[in-house]
Amino acid sequence: MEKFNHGRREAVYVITDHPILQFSRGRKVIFYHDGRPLEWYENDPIAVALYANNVKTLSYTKKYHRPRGFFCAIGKCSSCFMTVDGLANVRTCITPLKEGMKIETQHGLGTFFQSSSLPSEELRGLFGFKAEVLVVGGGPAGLSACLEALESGCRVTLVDESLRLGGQLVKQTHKFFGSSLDFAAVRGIKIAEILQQQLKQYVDSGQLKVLSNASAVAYYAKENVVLCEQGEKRLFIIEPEAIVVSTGAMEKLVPFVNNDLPGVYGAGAVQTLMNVYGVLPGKKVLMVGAGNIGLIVSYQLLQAGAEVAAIVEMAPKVGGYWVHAAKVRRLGVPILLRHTVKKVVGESCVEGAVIQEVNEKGELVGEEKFTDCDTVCLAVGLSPTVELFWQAGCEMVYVGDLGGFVPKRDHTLRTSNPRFWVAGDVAGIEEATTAMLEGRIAGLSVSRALNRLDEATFRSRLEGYWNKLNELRMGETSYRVRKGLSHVFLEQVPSLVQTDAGDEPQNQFGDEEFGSGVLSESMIETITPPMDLWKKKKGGLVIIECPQKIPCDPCHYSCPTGAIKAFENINDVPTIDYSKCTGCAMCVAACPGLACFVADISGEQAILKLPYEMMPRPQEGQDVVCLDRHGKEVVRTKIVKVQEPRKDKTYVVHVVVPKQLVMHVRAVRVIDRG
Amino acid sequence: MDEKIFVCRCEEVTLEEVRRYIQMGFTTFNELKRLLRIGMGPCQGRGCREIVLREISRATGLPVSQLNPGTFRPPSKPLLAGLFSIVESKKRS
Repeated sequence: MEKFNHGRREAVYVITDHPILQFSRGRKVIFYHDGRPLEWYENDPIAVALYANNVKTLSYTKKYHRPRGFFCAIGKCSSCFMTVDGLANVRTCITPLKEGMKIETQHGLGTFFQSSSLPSEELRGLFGFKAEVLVVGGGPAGLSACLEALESGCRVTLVDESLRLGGQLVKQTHKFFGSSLDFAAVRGIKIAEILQQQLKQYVDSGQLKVLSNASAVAYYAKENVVLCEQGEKRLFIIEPEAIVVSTGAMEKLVPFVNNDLPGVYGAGAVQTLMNVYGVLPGKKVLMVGAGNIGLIVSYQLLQAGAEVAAIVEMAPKVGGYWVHAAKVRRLGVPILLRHTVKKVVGESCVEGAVIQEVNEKGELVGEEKFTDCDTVCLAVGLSPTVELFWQAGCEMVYVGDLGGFVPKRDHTLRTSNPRFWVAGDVAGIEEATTAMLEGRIAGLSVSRALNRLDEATFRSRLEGYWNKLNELRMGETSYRVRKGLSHVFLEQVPSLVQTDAGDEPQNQFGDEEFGSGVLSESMIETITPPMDLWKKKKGGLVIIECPQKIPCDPCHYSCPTGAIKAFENINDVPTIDYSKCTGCAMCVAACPGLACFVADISGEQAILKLPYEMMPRPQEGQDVVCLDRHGKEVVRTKIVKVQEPRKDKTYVVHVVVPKQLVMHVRAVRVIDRG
Repeated sequence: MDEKIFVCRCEEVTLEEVRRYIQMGFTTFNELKRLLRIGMGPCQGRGCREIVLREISRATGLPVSQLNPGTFRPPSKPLLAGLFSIVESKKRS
């Protein structure tokens, strides 16, 4: 990190050195904020350019003149309106910065409107064109739908709101779970690159037309036209034969005092800022929500160099994968279960937050506690972005377990309006791996409807995709998705789809510590390697701390000796044949949950091989603090060896520790001498 | 700053207002929208709709799934009216 200090303004942090990411920044240009010249990189969003210059307040509201910043940072919430080159109400979170731009803090609705801001004549008027297949939204679902339809020979038009394709994938620095035959153990950012790579040939051949920074803002059913707006300055209409809507979702708001203050951001916005554009949202963050997003973003904040004050979660256990919770706990982040944020404190931006315990009914009880923080990150769930389906007259259903209203569909993801298909988070909040499969199904079904595929090919592929989906959804944390899915089909649940939810999974070690990502003592015994073998084994034996059934298999696929056995069901917890384990630590480097460790106790002192993805980059001889599962310092030692087995920036660091600590130390913090 | 809790960021409608109007008998989203402008701002209800429906549900005892979430009129974000201004002179291709 480098201090980015412009004259007398308070310094903010621009990330220059990140353990996973490299930021490819454009040309630095001068722009004007309320007449004051500032500098930032061309084509980054305006809101990011301002944030990097420590401008958090973008507008003042019309009624109470409250300061406002952005909230969703993906063009959905319109919280980031400013006046740009005389044009009011520009979404600055998705409008690229240009040299010499005049950006003004907007007061209320802005001033309508200066003649210079009128778009040029050639931009006006409704340009129209036809599309065989229109895909709205270029995230994992949309891109997969494009690919499937293109592979079948359809001509596709893709409309995407952002400046870069890939949806939320472009900000996912963590490795994905799921099947190694697909994208497991690959980072989200890499998956976005792979999908775009696969699409490139179709763009080159003209079979795929991509319209970026364009929003589909309306559908008129009678005329069958989708109205689109591009770059805030151009309108056009598309007449599609078939439409796949994969518009994703938006962060849910939480009603609390000062929930609109600059510094209260959706988790997606925080990710955009720090992982796409390399600007830290704050130095000390309170995370609200311990689902996968809250847990993953907390880890990413640590990677980017911020401090996470705490994660508060209303439920009595974390909602996300247990291994994600363990990752942040061992780095010292407290997870406060049955807690929520009561209010945010601050005048023009967040200066702290008051948190409080909640009881089983969700009522605030107990003592109010003040938490020092400059950012509050909301990760309490997402709402599907479904307006187009309502406008298309699709039959809708409210399913709380899926995030809100979603369109009903058949087993090919076609809605009750035969022109409309649905895929991804807008079909029900889930995650990117399943979104990609849903995109595939929608693209396949569209191809069949347009007669680009014969029935037999269609059938067999459809079955293949559903089999994968069903498998991925059998894990413990997908319980609510399965339950939700039983309500979304137009007819009865199709036989291809497994929604049998069974009873809600109970955790067998149901104490609070376990519920927030720390193994209980009794659990530790069950994962300790057999002592007779362990004592003799040079190189060590593997220890896997993965107690929850989740769909994931890279530990097995990365294991060169077959010690980590094949999974009968991808959701099973790993089983180990210790006699085959050589302690090679390939699994340590591959595991997306960072839940594999190797301990060698054959020598005088024990050697631990631990995964490491933080700054500063590890080097032999560095002094480190060893942390236990709670993030408490237990001993100080040195790194004796560093490996990067997969060349993917997950390092395996070898540290020497006293033997009695091998089942305690689970992370290291490099002592930064710089 | 005072202790307002905003349900609708765009139109600055508070939780207290929403509850008061629901108590007065306005128990549909569309009524509240017309009276309070809730959901009529630039985000078109993407942020507030669910919170409002939850409040209606709490007051009426009806589950959210049985409530009418209101009308979703196009467009879903503000557009420059000027962009439509010379439609007549252009032919659709």
